[in-house]
Amino acid sequence: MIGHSWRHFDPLILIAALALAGYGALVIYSASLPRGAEGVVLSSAVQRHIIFALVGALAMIALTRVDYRLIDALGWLAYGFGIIVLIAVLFLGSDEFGSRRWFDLGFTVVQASEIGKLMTIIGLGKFLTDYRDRLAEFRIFLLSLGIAALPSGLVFIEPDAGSAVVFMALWLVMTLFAGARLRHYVTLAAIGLCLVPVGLAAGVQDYQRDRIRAFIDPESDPQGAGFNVIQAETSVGSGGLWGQGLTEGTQTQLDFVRIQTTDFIFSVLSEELGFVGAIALFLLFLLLLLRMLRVVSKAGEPLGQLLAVGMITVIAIQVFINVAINIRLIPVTGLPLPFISTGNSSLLVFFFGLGMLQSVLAWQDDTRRGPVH
Amino acid sequence: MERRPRPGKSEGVAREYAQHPDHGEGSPVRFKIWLLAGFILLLFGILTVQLVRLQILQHDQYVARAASNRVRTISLPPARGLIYDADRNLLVENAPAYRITLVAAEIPDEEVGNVSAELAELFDLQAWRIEQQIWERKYSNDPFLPLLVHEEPTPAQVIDVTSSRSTLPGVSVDTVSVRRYEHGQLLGHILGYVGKITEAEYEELSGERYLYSDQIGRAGVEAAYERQLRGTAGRDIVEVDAIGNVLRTLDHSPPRPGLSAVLTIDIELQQRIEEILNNHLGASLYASAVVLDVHSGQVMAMVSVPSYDVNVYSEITTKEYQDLLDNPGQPLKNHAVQDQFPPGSIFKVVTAIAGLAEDAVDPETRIYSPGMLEVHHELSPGIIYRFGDTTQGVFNIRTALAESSNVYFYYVAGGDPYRNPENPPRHPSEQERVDELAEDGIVAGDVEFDGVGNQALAHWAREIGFDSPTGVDLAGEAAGLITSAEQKLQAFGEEWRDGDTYNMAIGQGFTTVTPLQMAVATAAIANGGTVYEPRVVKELIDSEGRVIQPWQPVVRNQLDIDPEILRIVREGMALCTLMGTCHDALVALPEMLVGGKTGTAEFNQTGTAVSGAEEGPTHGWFIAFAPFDDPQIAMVVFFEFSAGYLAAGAGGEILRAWAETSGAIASAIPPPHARVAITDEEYERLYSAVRERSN
Repeated sequence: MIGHSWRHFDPLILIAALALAGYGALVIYSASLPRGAEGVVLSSAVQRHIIFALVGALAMIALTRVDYRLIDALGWLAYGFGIIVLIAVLFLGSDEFGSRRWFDLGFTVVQASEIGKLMTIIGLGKFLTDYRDRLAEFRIFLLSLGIAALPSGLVFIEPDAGSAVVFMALWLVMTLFAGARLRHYVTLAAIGLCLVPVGLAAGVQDYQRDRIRAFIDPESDPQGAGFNVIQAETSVGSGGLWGQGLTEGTQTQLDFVRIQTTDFIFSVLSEELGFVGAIALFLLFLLLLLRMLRVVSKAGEPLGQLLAVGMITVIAIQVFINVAINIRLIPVTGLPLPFISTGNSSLLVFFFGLGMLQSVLAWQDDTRRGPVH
Repeated sequence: MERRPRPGKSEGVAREYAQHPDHGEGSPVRFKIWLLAGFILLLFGILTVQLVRLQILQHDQYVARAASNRVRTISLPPARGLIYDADRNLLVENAPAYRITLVAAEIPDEEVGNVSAELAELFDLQAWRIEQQIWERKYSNDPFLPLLVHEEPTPAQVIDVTSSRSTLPGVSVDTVSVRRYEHGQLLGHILGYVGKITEAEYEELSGERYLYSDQIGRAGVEAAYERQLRGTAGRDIVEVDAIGNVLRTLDHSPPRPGLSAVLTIDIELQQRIEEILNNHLGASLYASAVVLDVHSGQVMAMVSVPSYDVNVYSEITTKEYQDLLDNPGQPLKNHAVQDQFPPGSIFKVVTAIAGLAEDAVDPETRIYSPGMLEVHHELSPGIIYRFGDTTQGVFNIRTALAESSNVYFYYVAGGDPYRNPENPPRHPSEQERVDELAEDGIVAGDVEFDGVGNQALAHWAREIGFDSPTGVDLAGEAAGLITSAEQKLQAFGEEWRDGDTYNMAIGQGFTTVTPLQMAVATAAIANGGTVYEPRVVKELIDSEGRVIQPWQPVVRNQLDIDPEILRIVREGMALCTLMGTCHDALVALPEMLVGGKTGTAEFNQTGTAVSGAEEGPTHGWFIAFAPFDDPQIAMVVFFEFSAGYLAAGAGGEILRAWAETSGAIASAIPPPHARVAITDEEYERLYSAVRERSN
């Protein structure tokens, strides 16, 4: 019996993802335009973004054909792989901006936490599916927390606080969806509150303290940590309704905005394409997320649902955190904007994740009603 | 293609799952999906609200902030105007000098320590201090504002810095312009100097686009002509990137160089006068002299010794500066302009003018001087004030000027002391002698004789320029003082007495004048009554030498007076050189007939009123105009702690210096031969000779 059906392939997910990646390529093009360049100059960052988006799209299609239920058998293996990657990066990763987050593979760099996120979705999905009937046990609840907390802790020591938050958000949303008891969260929160002072003393790095201070009062240190916050906010504000025009933003083109192809790419987009450009971005993300929510409802079985919920959470939370930093709603933590920021591994992982969801769609009939032919 | 369903738990799970009542339509799963969708919409809602706030509501504010980020105004300092002497020889130049500065924002954080250490070694500074300054500037509001490392690097240090560009990021050698003065010592008081603008001045002149680092005129012409010399700063409005690189110029307005000043000063004359003053200084702590062109008020020379070199002033050490301050000769002070002294007998020319103008005396009036005048105290007549005199005999106004009779001018100003009924009668023998003289038509003990009074005297003194600054184009001018009865009452709580008027008549008492005021008054006597505002700058020219502000004499006052009166005073002054107290001037310049007047002014250290009845140390004064026949210049010379006849000797040499440098000596008509013994006949002969040449 053929359980797989291309009939269920959701082209809107592919289109939305490619549209976002294309949008990203456009903004990266402007942000990486050499000063005084005549005509269109596609930097290698733009080219790679486009190439990896296309590779990602092909991977998504290819993954559609792979039965996601392999996770049933290989889920722990995948999770284990993710953990090994996260541990390995601490020893083998290349040092940049004082943290070890990347593997340098020569032709590209791979951000370990991106792989970790996908693998944790898989691991949590597998665990919550397997133990969904015993989730009411606090022990099982704690085990689910452990599955997320392990990678979260590993990225935290890279250090990458932003990703650590994403892992915890992932756990929260997925366990809630799986039907964990609310009182367990309350218990956990109470224990957590007691540990906060310890954690702050031990875990929060100086640079994070600086960032939090810079967020609260950026003017106190305009050239240091506060500089990026102020400049990003200025860029966004000066964009106005229609923006300064692509490649016309003075904040971007004169390098007042730093890390402008990754963490602060949204301020580039907002400065040059304005409120309209930002809303267009939001609408593309909403389209993607709504189509992903549709996967949850179509999945018809908990593993597929949880995988979709996990991917939705990662994308939604990362978009929110990244944009909120740019518009000065929360302190600076370095997180890429999905599909938009440069970062080939991030782009690929998101396409892989979406491919996994396409697989959930493709195999829905098989899982739900058995063989159709 | 047939395919078996995959083995494993999933299949069973799915089947079981689908049949579960929780997972159909309206099931908790659907509810959770809605919840998740709602949560996502909430997140995007929050972001959208903040975006509306930033991009729509506060857009203008952020646009302004972005503009101030990238647009910077660079001030372009104008070239300061130059200063020339009367012959257009350059007296000051803008010399290039080097300065070592650093821009903190251009030094990477990890390099701050190295840069500080290297600079400390190069310039013998403290590394920690530099490091501290760099960090402070880095975190200040304007990290691109250059920091001054060293103001005067040696050429070797400049080369060191230039050659270690790679290890000294952000450090640069700036070329700045400094003033180098020719004749910095000789013309120090006139040229003045420039100094860094103070914070207070910067605030005060905020409307005139000064920079925090600008130089501003501090003294002399540099200060008085600051606005004209300075020029107009230009500015570039440039676009910069985040690290301060200039990308393009958005607007350019070029600086306009300042105008150059051409002095009225004749350097050669100035030099010779400086030598003469130094040669004659003797026990005097200081001396000064001024030579004015009587037809324009131009200052041909103005010397105050001791002086100081304005070139070193800008780089002066505290010790050197303290030495200048402690020097009793007060070299920082221009004693010709910024200092005031009792004039003594040279003031008699003013008393003479007042007496003639107010008809208190006429040229024929003869007054007898017994060698002093006695005034009894009004309340206790037993107390007698003696107002002394250095000569005695019978004087008319010319001989009184020539021989500097005090009594004559006591009478002119204050009248006969015995006209005051409170004064007890004269001694009978004295009265007898007085009566005899009166029969010959000589004023002596004439109780009817009224002087002009102190008010009329003060009026004429003010008319000729005293009691207020002359208006010379130099900073810090003193005003001098001509007192009134009201002022005395206010200051001392005492009534004005005859004695005060007598003191005033001979330039003692409360009266003080500046040497420059004296020169202006002498010029007015010589030129027929025009009181000029003296000027040290003749004209302002632009950088191509075109005259922008031509010479324009400023007449401060034109004396409303019969020209004959000034002629009489001039004749008296000529007779002074021929037969009177100014004889030493004639000795120094026997080739030319000049008019002069000496003054030996008593002073006391406290600076309070000095009475003619007291004896004290004296200053030496000499005023003169030359040549007598056709006056061209007026001159004043002043020596602290000296005497009039000594000043006359130096003054004669100054007149000679002028006569020689101007060439006037060639066409000079020699004075009539004067004998040592002055008889009435001799006087008549000299007077006729003078009268003949006077016009």
